[in-house]
Amino acid sequence: MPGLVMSKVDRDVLRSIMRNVKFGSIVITGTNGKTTTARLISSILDRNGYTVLSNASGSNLERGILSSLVEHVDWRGNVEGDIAVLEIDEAELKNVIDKIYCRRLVVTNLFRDQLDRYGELNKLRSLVGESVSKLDTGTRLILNADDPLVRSLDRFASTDVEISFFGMNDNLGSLIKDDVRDVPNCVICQKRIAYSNYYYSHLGNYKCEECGFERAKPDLSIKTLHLRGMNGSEFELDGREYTGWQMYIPIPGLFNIYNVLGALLAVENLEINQDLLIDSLVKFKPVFGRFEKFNLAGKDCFLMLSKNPTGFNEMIKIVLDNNELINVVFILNDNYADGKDISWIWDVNFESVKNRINWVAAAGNRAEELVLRLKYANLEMNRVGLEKDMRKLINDISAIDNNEPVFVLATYTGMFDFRSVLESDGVAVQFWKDKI
Amino acid sequence: MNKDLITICYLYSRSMSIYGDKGNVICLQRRAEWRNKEVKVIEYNIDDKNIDWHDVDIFFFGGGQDLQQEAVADDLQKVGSKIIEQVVKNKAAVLAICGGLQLLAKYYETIDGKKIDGIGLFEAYTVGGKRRFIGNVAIETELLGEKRIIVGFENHSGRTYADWQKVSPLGNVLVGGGNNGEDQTEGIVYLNAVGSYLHGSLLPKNPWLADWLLLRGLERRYEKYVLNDLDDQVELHANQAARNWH
Repeated sequence: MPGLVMSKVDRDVLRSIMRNVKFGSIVITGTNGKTTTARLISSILDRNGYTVLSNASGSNLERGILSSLVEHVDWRGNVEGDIAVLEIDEAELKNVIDKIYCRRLVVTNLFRDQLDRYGELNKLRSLVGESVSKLDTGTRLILNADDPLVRSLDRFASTDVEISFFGMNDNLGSLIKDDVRDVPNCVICQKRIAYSNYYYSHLGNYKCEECGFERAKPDLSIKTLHLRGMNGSEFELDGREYTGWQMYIPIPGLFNIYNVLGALLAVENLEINQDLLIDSLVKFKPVFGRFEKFNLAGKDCFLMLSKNPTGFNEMIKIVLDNNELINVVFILNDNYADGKDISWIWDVNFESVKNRINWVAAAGNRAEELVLRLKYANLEMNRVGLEKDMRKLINDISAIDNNEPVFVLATYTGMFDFRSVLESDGVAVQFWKDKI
Repeated sequence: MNKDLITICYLYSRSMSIYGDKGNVICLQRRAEWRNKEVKVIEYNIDDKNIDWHDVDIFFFGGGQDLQQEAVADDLQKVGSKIIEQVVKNKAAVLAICGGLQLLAKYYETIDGKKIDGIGLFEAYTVGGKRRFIGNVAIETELLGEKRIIVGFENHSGRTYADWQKVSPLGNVLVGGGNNGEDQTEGIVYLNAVGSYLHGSLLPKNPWLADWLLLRGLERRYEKYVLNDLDDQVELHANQAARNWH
């Protein structure tokens, strides 16, 4: 792997590459939405004539960032690129933040994910906070106002860092019932935190009555919102130069609206044309494994990365919104990149798919535990299939005797396992060729 | 005919539920329902009033994040005597996982010397360690009448040492760290109370332990009791699969 060799040869090589990138970097970190937010920003910049350097999805540790960027260095050591858009692992960021000429840092959200690797949420927040404290004068810090953990990161920034917040508009009201678990207490004083609106997971409008810590007023928010399931979403923006803009993105889910808001604040004040920006979102192509659509024996098949309780729950909601009776596959792996601990599936709301199943299969190297989870969600067990062989799984999907779409919810390496069979069949493009 | 009743109390459900430990409550509830019992699940959280402690047949106490655990420890000093009374005098069953186990023991001394008091139901104490025990665990237990392999996932830096004259281990470690990484023990059993470091969730793929707790809870309420067998093929498959280390 070239990245490994290079980081040993010259620990400063990342800095020396980045020094030659005209506008420095826009950096995206957080638990969910890094890849999609990075792709949204890259698409907007690319459409507006910037030459964009980026790291491939999943290559978000120092070594991966390096090997992605090295491709853009010519034999004279010159870098062809105006701006770098980098998604960086939330725990790794502190090790690279001072080498990448970060001009804007977007923090999407912080959810419980791979406790065996990242540790507890409070610790993860401190790790990201350490990165924030290293931001240079004039850097813009772009924070999700609706996530108390992310919103509170402003405390780590020095006074000459510019801070912008994004979030939902109060007038939308609550979008879900109470399902907050990750952040039961105030981030600052640990007393009980009160929510007036819930958006999803622990995102909402909150206030601590003890110490006064509360959601920040968003600089950019959503005024009206129409979620149209798998057909994507329409919304009107409110705030900054974007007030009144009517937008459409072809990818579903409220969490993707948040990704758009983060992306828009990240490109603010660059040379961006309104029509080109709107058009680049209308034509946005999902990143591989994130609502990527395949044709399997005439059926639409959607591959949806679902790697932690919040992500999984949001994906299930989207699937249930699409059809009364659903065809669905769950793939659970416990490889290092997925997290070795699979306890989290017991926090996923599988109960909500009870009585909504047309066809269901469990797959992956811990498929047995998934089947067990479905049993305890009181699913009709004679409808639950178990198939650990990806080739056979794909044959089973092709043989489903209805024409409704099939949704495949997979953990990180599960997504690659599933996709690699489709790649060898020529149904999917090879993931490393997946570019804007 | 009225169904037999069982009451499960989920202690600190809001703060102590980070590792999917909720699956233990789901498991107890379903396995009782599948046997046609009426199940009442009550939740207790910091400062809650109006809890009828005497009605509780089984307590469940899960693991949480460090900061939240401290707030819970404070509250526990207020209600601990009620819980101890219900367990020691009134024979209620308990399953306490990770942080729950630590807080039911005497104290937890963190690595920087801070001491967090528990309620002393278990004759045991915990000290913080540098290295975390993280990974799949298998233990062998004889608690359930015959030898069984219990599987789960541990993630803790605390080392728990118990007075084995007064309490028993849940089992012997086959794979993993267990209570302290030294004496090959995992978990603590005292009367009808079981503590363990194993997440996973623990009970669904170790259904014998779930039934042991249910039986203790039902015996408490109805004296002699027999539980009918369930079809546990799916549970046993998951137990086996968790032992395919890779």
